[in-house]
Amino acid sequence: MWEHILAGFLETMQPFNLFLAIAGLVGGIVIGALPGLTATMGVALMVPVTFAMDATSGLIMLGAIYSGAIYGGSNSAILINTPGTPSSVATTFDGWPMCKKGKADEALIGSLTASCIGGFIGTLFLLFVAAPMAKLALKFGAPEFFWLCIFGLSTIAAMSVNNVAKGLVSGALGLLVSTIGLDLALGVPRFTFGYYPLVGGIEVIPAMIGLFSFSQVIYLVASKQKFIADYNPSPGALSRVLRKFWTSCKVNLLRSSLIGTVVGILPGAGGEIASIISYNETKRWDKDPSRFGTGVIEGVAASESANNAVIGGALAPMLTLGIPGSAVAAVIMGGLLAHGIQPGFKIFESSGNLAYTFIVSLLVVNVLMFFIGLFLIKGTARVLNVPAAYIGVGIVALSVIGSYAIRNSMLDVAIMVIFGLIGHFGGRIGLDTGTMALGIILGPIIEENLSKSMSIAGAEGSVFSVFFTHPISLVLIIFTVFSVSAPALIAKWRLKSNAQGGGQNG
Amino acid sequence: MDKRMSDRLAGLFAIVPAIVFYWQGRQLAAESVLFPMVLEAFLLIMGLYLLGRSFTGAGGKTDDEHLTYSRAWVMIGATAVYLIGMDLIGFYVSTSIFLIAVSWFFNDHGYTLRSFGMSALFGVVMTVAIYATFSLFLQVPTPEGLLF
Repeated sequence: MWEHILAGFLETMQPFNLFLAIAGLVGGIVIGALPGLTATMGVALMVPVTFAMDATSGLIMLGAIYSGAIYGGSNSAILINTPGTPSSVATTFDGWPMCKKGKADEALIGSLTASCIGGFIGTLFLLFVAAPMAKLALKFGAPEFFWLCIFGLSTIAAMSVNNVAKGLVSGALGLLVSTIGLDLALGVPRFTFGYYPLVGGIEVIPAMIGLFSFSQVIYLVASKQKFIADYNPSPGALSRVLRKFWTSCKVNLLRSSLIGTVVGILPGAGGEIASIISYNETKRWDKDPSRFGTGVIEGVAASESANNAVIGGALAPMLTLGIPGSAVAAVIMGGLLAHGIQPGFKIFESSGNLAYTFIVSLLVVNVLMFFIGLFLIKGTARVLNVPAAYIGVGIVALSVIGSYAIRNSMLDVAIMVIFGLIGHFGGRIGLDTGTMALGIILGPIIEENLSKSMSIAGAEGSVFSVFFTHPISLVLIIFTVFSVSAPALIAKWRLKSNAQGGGQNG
Repeated sequence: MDKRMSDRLAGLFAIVPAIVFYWQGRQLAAESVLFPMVLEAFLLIMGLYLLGRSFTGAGGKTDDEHLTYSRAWVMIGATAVYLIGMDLIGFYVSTSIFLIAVSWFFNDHGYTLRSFGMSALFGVVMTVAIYATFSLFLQVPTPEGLLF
């Protein structure tokens, strides 16, 4: 194994491969930062380009685009409150408030550093423990996925701790909206209001662009702000972030990276779920959870380390079992097949050099991304010095093209605008766009797995045994119950200990 | 906004979609509406709770800042015209017009020739950048109209 790793490292360090890695990273970061363009789209666009290269070089470039795009999403999440990719939704929760506080550079450097660390840990995981974990992932059936998503949904309790009722309404509205379109169980149109194009359902990305981006434009214009945020580059931001990460974010980064890796292994569960769960866990275990959402770097670190760690996890079942863990992994797998390489555990024997070079190149890519990202941040942060009037209309134009690009449909553009209005006016009455987005993302997965589980229960004759007796389901149920009750219990416990402390002091 | 009014509107925001979705799904088979019906019932309960709270709960102002909605409606209206326009005259022509006109309307330096020049420069550069990035480099399709 070690000789393969060394050979892989030497192969990656070839000038042409390094060039491809850097080009892939820059391209990926740009694609990720543009709202509406996803990592899947970026990788898919470049797959045909790799046909002209040998498989190893092509894979290095695709891996770099994947990593760059997932990190790139955080740039727009932080600077204009618009997640560049669905994986960056949770980054807006604290990244945007940091930007508004004039700490855009710290947020950007924090997200970059966390992305590199998460990506590196996820890849180490892929290198050393992919095979056993991939086999465990195969034990996830519909009930387990259902409970995993319910666990993800339990985040609402932590996200809307100041107004749980409106948080729950927002989440439920998101879930209800996600049911528009073809019914997964019977294949009949549902909630289309007689308008046939709605059969295709509500696309997540236009809805999110609307909720986070167009709603923000309305606010920006109506608030008469001259700039979207005060920004003055502060010297020493890099060292401050690194010191902060070293002193108080080690556990957060490690935990979030592991969550990202494990979620990434599960087919169909991607960076959006991983980053939301990680954000929630970081908030829960923090000494003062009320800080979250006000602009703390720990929130950005949790979300970004988790979504980049997903990459290593998502590639594990693809390389070891021939089952892609995410849409991007599926596209990369398509590229491998086009080169005549069959993914699966034998790839480590039959094409060991290729497999190990790909994995080692991801480690190198995560190191390179730190330096390239630092260089690009200097330029991207300057967007905050552009007057708000220009930024606002620019965001509208990018939102339109980003929404249209998903299905080449003007319906998606209209959906973007409608969700922008819902996000803005809903926000004015206390509804939460983050939990609504969470509902829209998790809704289809929850319903699909609920429906499958009910079918299994029908065949087995017992709903209870399907939902409540599988060991993995039980663990997830315990996590969910703990997740829902923890914010209230911890707040109660703190109140009690403060009262006792106050009493003793007095 | 008053907290009670905020709760009242949020309650309606929950109840109205629940009723509309229930009405739309009443012809569908039970399997198709099981999950949505659970959500509709939940939204109805939460909506009624919020409505009840708006009559019995504490009042007071919410901490949202003052917004000038006349400007917001201009942006929303301009976006609607932009969307209709791109379907008729094409994405890039309508985008450049939208960028120039709306950025000039919202600029902070008054309606002078200089500020118009700045908006025109911004509109043209941004449109060219979008064209280069999306159409040339990424080859992403854009809405088509009569012109470009």
